[in-house]
Amino acid sequence: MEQEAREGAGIEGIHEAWSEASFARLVRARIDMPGRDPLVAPPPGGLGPAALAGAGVQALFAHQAEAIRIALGGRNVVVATPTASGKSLCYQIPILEMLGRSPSATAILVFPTKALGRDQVRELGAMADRAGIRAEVAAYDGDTPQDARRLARARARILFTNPDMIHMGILPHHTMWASFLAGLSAVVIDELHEYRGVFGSHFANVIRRLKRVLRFHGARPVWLASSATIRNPADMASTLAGEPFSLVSSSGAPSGRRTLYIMTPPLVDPASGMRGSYLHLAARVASDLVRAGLQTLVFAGSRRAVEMLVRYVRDRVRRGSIEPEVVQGYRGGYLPALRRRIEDGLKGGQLRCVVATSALELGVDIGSLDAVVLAGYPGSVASAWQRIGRAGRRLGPSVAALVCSASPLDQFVADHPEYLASTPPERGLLNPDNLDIVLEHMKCAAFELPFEEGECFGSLDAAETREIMDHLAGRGLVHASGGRYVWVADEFPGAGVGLRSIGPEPFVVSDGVISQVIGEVDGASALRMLHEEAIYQHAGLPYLVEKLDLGARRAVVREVEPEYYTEPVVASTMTPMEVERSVRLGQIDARFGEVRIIEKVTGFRKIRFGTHENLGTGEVDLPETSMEAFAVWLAPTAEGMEVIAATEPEPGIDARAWTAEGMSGLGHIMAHIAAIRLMCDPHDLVPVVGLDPESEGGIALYIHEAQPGGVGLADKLHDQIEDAAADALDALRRCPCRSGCPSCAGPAARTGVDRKAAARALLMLMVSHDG
Amino acid sequence: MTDESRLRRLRRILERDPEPAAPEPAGRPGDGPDLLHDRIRSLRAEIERVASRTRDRPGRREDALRMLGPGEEAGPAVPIPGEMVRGPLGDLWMRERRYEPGALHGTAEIMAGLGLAGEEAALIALDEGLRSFDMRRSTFLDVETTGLSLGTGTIAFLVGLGWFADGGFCVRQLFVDRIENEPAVLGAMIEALGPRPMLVTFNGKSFDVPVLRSRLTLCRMDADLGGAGHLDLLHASRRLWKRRIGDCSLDSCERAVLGLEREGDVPGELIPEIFLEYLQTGSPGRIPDVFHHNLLDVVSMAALAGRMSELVQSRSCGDMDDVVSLAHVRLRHGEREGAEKDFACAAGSTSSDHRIESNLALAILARRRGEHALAASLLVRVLEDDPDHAAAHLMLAKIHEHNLKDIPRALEHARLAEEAEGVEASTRRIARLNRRLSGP
Repeated sequence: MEQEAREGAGIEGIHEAWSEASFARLVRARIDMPGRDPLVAPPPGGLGPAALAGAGVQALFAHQAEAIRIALGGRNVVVATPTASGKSLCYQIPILEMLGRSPSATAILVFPTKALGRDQVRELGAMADRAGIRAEVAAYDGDTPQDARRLARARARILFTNPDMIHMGILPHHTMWASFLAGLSAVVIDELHEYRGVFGSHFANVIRRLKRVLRFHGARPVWLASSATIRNPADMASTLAGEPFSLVSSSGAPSGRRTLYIMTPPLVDPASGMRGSYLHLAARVASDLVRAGLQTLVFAGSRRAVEMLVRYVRDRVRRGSIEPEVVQGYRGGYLPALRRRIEDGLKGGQLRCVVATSALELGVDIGSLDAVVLAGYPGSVASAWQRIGRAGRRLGPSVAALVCSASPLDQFVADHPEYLASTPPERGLLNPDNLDIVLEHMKCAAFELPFEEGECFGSLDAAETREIMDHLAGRGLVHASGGRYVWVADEFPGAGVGLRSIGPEPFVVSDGVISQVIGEVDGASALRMLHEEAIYQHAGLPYLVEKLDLGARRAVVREVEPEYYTEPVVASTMTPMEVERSVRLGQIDARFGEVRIIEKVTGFRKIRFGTHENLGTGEVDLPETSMEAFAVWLAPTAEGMEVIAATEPEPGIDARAWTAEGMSGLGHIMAHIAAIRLMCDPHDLVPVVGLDPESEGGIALYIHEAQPGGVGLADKLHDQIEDAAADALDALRRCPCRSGCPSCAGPAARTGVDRKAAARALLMLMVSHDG
Repeated sequence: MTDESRLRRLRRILERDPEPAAPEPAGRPGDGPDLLHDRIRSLRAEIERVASRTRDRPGRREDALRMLGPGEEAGPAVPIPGEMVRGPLGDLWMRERRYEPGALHGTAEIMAGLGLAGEEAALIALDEGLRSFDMRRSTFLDVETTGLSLGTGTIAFLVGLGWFADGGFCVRQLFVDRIENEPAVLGAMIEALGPRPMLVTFNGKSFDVPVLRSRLTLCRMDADLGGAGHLDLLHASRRLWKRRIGDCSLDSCERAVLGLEREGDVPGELIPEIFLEYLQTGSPGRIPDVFHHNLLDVVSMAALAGRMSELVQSRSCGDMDDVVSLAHVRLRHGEREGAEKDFACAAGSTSSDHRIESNLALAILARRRGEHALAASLLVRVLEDDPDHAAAHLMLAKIHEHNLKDIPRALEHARLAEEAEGVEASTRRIARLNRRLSGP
């Protein structure tokens, strides 16, 4: 049937095989990127020879020299250059220099998770030794044993930690860290781009607390951040740390020539929009690469996909002369020793293909590879490039292939190959001023140091800060006395604050088979995700929810291998609380503000993996929940409603019902478009069709943030609502399906309404005026 | 977001901010099924019960005690004991008491604590650094706090200090009557401690001292807290009395060692709440009870130190549990001779457990000295009390095989030692002994 690449044919052989007619129809785009020569620069003045020698380098790339110069000048700097461009040196060298200059200087390096940075603990220790600096380097995270913690407090000059440990381990006990904090000269925030959304909003407040405590100890460190290429690294760093940052973003590191293919599986049924399996196509692509002699890394979205791909790729390569064992999986859940073996196998070249989850994306050193396959779009431009960057690190040509799935995000990328190639990567959004989050951290801050009369916290002014302190005094948590608010309660406020959720207490998820807690779901989305009979995805594995205990806030689950996933059926009542902004686009009012959402999960749908076919429904009996969140809502004007009514959409269908169906379809595509534009997970935004008593048409499409108080997504979406609407219209136009499919407006409902046409008609109301 | 809408939003959030889980100032009937509240209520009931027992008893000689049960109206407020005095860093609330020679605490004499010598402190603390420990230069220290967490948000609002002076025992209590007077209290504490103080505490290494260090740092002050020596009686109590009284909380030690039953004492768990109530209402409330509680803590430490000294010094055999414990402490401290004396004393106990443990220990010591025949005879005594004692059989097997060269006896014991050395090793040993028995 199809032409496969010849064994040992190399990259040229791949280009040849993939331009054969039978395969070329699956290739939506081929993007060639030229290589780049290195750009070196002399070490900045003021940098002693010891630090360079310690780092073990003779010369610096231009971006490294620039970043080091800024840092040693006492200014904050964020380095946002591609994978493997030597970002770590940009903070390692300034730290060595600072610690070498002053024997009391200390530094703290913050990584988003504890696993990251572990390699660096040893590396930086060795660098300090070579530089002749006496500096104890210690890791301080949840896994650090008690004795080692005491030692770290007493002796460490370089501390590797994470936001959770600063929040729970260091700040509430800052007096025990007094000499370390007093000497603090540099704070490193690595993997800056990871701090978007709720986690970043929390971390920003942890940093506010840290800076408050540092003021007490008289330290003013320089802030050094390192980020994947996102659109707004300097903005994001300054929002996170509350400090101005200089940006270094142009890499002086060399890179080889690179070709990126974007592919989609063949369309099986144009009417329903159904396509072949992207996993099969990804396996075909990977086996071609392996057969051509290229060492290949495949990224898949879930553990399950990893296991399936390993099987498929092995089956394919087995047909030739290649041993199936050279193909391996790599994912969370593998034991560390096995992981190390696989990493070594990659470095040594014995392994020819590794299929991995994002577990391999960050900070794991595996050397450079010839080819990368992305089985499914990873959700953001930034992380797509992060993964593609794993291939052809510095020298020689490389190839990458993105195999798109049927999701709207993937289809959008396939339809707009230029999006991936030329769009600046996404913005990292976080909202340090989410008041729900701020309030919790102010309790922690009051525990750490008394609030002085007139003190401000973050962007809260003195009056707002006083309002909160008076509230805490009323609750008996602080006591106002002598012009200060002093913590007096027998309570440890940090214990109630997790850095990864907002609002109501989270639910724990426990595996009933092994009787072990495997995860947590934030209170706001728990009922949607953990109702009985729901398929709950945890670390890429599907679990069936067997029991939900509302009182104990606990769900008991069991691992299953279903053919479907579930989608909750939710009845929501929306009440606008505050309209912050409103613009009229054609005959639609687009508002941004805060809404109260009262929702009740009434049932669920079972949807088949891959094809998104509806396999049936179920009912659940759960209580109503209420929350306030920020939202964008789109409401037709009276005139708009008339236009809809006048178009006589479909015989026998009420204009209002037709509008509602169209809004539902529009919500489906808009949530995905918004996720692309805002660099968030599609689940961070929830589309709901509801009443809007204040609008002329009385009905609106709400797109609200899933988290109470939000992280600023709705705000930013409103800023670009016109462009988002244009994207949505374009996506509907390009989708080959007839009346709605999972890749665009969602599958056609049984009402008989043409969802796609209805959604398009609504969009026309918004965008037609300028075209 | 506009300023007004943010303020409105802030107020909405504050309205729904959940109440802290901390106990309510008063137990309200009809509270929900809240476990914590239930616990507090039952505690209160317990206090009430104890308090009424106390009130009924005539002629109590302690400070005025005031107990309020649920729903009971506060009578005429009992004033906080003590007075405002001038300290090095400002005015503060202080109360002093002095106990004269002969004063009893439970059945123990308070002044006995003065008898604990440096060597004894080093022994019971297993800390050579305490050899220079001197009770005349030491201060007993105990603090009451706003919570049990060791974080920066925990305030030591009452600092109790005690020392032996002029033939008596003095207790000085320094009280943070207003939060802003905390530096004055810490200043007065530093003054009372003097330079290079030695400290005696009960669990102070893990709690009182770290809390005070944190408070000093926060008030930008510094002090030497036990750098010259710190005897933590909790650890010593566990070493000496765990065998006899199990959990060595101050409470249990008082009951078992001092014969002291606290009457109408305020439970430690309620202390943070009492102080918070005092801050909020400005009226003394049950603060006088907290003073009393703290006073008893300090005095108990002095009396416990006395009991420890008596135990260590005693020439005659006291409680056999304690003698065995002390012997083990002596061994760990390297006092072999003393340990042997104590074990020998306990070997004459009426309890076979004591006899077995002591004879076994003595046998090990004898064997280490090379007195194998003596060791064997001691082990035989162990077997008299417990014929199946596998470890004793094992040692006898070894002694008879290697030292006394009595292979048949060795084999006899080896056959009964399996439990102590495991099947494999035991089988090997028996096989070897059999070979030696039948060999040349």
